[in-house]
Amino acid sequence: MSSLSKLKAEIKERYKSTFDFETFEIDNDTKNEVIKREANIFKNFEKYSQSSYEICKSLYEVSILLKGEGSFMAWYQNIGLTKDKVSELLKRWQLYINMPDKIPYIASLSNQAVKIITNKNIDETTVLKLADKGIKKVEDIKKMISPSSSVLPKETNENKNNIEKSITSSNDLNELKKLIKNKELELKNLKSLLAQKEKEIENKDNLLLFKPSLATVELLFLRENNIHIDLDDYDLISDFNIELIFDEIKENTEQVIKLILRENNIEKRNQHYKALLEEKNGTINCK
Amino acid sequence: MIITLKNNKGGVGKSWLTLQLAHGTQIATEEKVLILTSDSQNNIKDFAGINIEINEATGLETWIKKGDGDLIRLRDNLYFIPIAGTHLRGDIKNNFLKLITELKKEYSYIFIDSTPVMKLDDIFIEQSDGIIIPTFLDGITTTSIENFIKSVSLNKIKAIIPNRFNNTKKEKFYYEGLKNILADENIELISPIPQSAILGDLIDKGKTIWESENKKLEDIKNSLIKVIREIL
Repeated sequence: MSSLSKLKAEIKERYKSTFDFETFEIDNDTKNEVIKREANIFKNFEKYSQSSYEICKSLYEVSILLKGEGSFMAWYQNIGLTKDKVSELLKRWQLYINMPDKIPYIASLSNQAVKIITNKNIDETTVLKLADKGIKKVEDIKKMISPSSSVLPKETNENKNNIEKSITSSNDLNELKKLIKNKELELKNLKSLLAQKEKEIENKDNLLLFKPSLATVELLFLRENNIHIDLDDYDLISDFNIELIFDEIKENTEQVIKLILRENNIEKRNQHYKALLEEKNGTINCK
Repeated sequence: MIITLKNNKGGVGKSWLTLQLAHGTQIATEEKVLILTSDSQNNIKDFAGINIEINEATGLETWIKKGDGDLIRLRDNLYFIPIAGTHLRGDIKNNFLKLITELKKEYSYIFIDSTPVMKLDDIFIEQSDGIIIPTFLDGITTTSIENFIKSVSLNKIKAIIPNRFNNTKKEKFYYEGLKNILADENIELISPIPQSAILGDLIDKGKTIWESENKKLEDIKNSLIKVIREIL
């Protein structure tokens, strides 16, 4: 095959559309025009993916070159980048080097999605699973990284039929086993909480023995102090991913809250939060 | 998509390369392709083996004035609008923009063989999605390329084609110089196209390189395919 014929074959392959034009009774002329533009979108997306990769790569290289100098921040501000943008691009770069064969997928992720999947609490296997399945929507990512099953409904007693329908493979059975295990753990925790509560009421004048979970304390604090977090995020609250939620809190407070979370003493943490709130005139909105 | 071949220096092979790239693109994409020229010699029709006298009624001037005119069919789905070389008057820019909008509806790829005459040069560059620079490998042409690159958006420059290469020490020196200039840019610098008797023979026969089975043309074909890939 001559080199031009090879190119011709490649172009034909590239222009194949998977859209079902027949179902929508789209005439041939319109179909051909749409396919042409569809091809153009894909071609330009490929270019965009490569550009995104190159931008992240260069930024990372400058961050290394200027690290010792302590001038990286001044440099990126000079070219008009913000701390948030740099953080996002560097996180995206981490994904590019961890999954060099998934450049288009990584380039198509939203900033929020990048932030979530580069969180240190998310293990590499989960990230690879997300990339393999091409999951891009933030809510789908959140579902997948949440400890509860991705194939099963959250409330098992809400819809037994749904569970039955969801189980089609041995993997799904494993997911169900995992879910049962989680529920058993949850029940165990509730029993322990009940026991602690009973004891607390019994000894209310004595030393406080009840220590609610980390997430509960954080949540109560957020509510009491008018810190707004979207309802969707409440579903994710658990000891291991509480930091993820705090990542949502805006630019200037993000680092501070991360530091606060490192503090083990709850009382001290609350003091830090109060100081932070005073500094922010009483309210922090994370959206 | 509009692709302009441009170099202010004459004789670098703009018209011949425009025809080769346009024909190659037509064969590869099977789309309708049009060639426009602002070179009143209209060599493209001769390179394609078409013998027609050009008068004002068939030229680009008429298209710009009236939005309509005659077309020369060079090959299947490959057309050419020549230029008669008369002086253009009136609101050339707006009329050309209207014309190009209409032509874009009809043709998937429009190649422009651009010479720095008739006030059209800047409008061509402005309207182009891609620019290709044919060049000689000598000091003056290399400097003029450097200046040209500085004056247009780098994203638009798709490729530089060193043409009529005689494999001299000086040419090799300037090729390396161009390589250095382009080292950090995303611009394809293709292998020089040699001055060759086979190409002269094809021109005499009015054939493009894609119509020849000569094995000696494989390297040139591959180089031009690289450029076509940059366009598509």
